Formats: sequence, C-alpha cells, structure tokens
Amino acid sequence: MTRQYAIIAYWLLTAVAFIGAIVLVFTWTPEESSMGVIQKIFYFHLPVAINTFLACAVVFVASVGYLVQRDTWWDDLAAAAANIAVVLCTGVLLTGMLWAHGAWGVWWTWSPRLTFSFMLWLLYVVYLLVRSSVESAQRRALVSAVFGLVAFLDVPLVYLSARLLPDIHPGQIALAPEMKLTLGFCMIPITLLAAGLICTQYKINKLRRARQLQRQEQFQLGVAPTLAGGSL
Amino acid sequence: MNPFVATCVAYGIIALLLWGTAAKLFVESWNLRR
Repeated sequence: MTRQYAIIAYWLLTAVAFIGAIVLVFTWTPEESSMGVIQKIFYFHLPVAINTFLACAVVFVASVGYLVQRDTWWDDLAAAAANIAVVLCTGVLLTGMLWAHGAWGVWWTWSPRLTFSFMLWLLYVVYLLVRSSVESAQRRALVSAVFGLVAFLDVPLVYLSARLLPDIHPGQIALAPEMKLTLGFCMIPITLLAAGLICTQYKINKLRRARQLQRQEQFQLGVAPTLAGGSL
Repeated sequence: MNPFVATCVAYGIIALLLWGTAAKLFVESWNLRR
C-alpha cells in the first residue's frame, strides 16, 4: 500500500513539475532576440532529446547485461527502454520540425544531425519490429541484445554531427541566465516522465513474461495426465 | 504557421506523446494485474 502511495506521489510530482515548466516557459522566460517565441520549443526539445539518448543508453547497458549474464530481466529492461526511446525520439523529430519551419523556413533538411536523428528513430523502430517477429524467447533476447548494441552506435553520431560537420544546427548556444534556469527546470519533469515510463513498461514486460510462463506450466500440467491416461 | 501557435503545438505534441503513453501503460498494467 505504501508503495502504491509512493507511485501516485511520483506521478503527481511529475505532473505538477510538467505544468510548472510550461508556465515558466511561457510567463517568466524572456524571448530570444533573433528567433522570437518559436525558440521556446527548445526548452522541451533539448530535454526530450537528452532523455532519448539516456533511454538508448539503458538499452545498450541492458543488452550488454543480457549478453554477459543471460538473465531475462535485462531483456525486459532493454525492451522497455527501447519502447520509450521511440516515443521520445518521435517527440524530438516532431518538435524539431515545427521549430525548423519557424526558424529556418523548412520542415526538414537532410543535414547530418537530422539524418542521424531520423536514423536513430528508424533503428529503434526496427529493434521493436525484430522483437515482435522472433517467436522463441531466448533467441529474441539474444538477437535484440546484439541489435541493441549496434543501434547505440548512432547516438554519438547524432551528438557529434553538429559539432564536427557543417550542419544547420548551431554547434553551441549562448543562453541568458533565465533561459539556463528554465532549461534546467524543464529537465526535471521530462526526466521523471521518461524514468517513470521505462519503469512502468518494465513492470508490464515482467508481468507478461510471468503470465506466459504460468500459462506454459498450466498447459504442461494439463496435457501430461491426459497423455498418461491415454497411454494406459 | 503563426510562431506562437507552432510553439503551443510543439508543447501539445510532447504532452500528448508522453502523458498519452503513460495513460496507455497504466491501463495495460491495470488489465494485467486484474
């Protein structure tokens, strides 16, 4: 019961921080001089992008964990983080497109960072498709773990592309102190949400696996006596 | 598109995506526990 209250408190705190962040962005934070109000997309766009990387890193760590220990809980964690990484990456791409249209006049351009970001989204969508297409649980976990390792290679490419290659994205952004504070505050609800979503999805994956095992055991127990009876 | 509207749409997309996923997961978890 105490645990349930803690979970409810966690989600309430996240909701309050989320609303607080939006109020802070629209009422307190000054407008950027060159881009105007459209720059305010940045305060959610960047935290969601950072959390996408973190979710991908969880997939990577869990994939390594599975390959080393062969424990199914690593596989459940990797699958949960990949699911949430796709949701977060979709948010980054969509908000980025809206910002691009307002600031640069185009919805999309094949610049290195945008291309690698789109690739990242595709890689984790394919990861989920691969998972759903393999029937055997052991083989699915193994194939997914290897795929999870390879897919993570795109994360440093997204991060470094705007710094090392000529890109439409600025390499570094100069922010006023109020803007930095708002950005820091916006990191809180987005990180809480991402972590909460991964934990909830992980619990669901674990429950599903337990149910499946239970069903298999029941099936074996139900079938065995019938077969024995038949042979007698 | 009006820049203010575009900004509001961006925040709406993030809110819908993240809280929508949370709602979907809560329902799924509830159904599995029943």
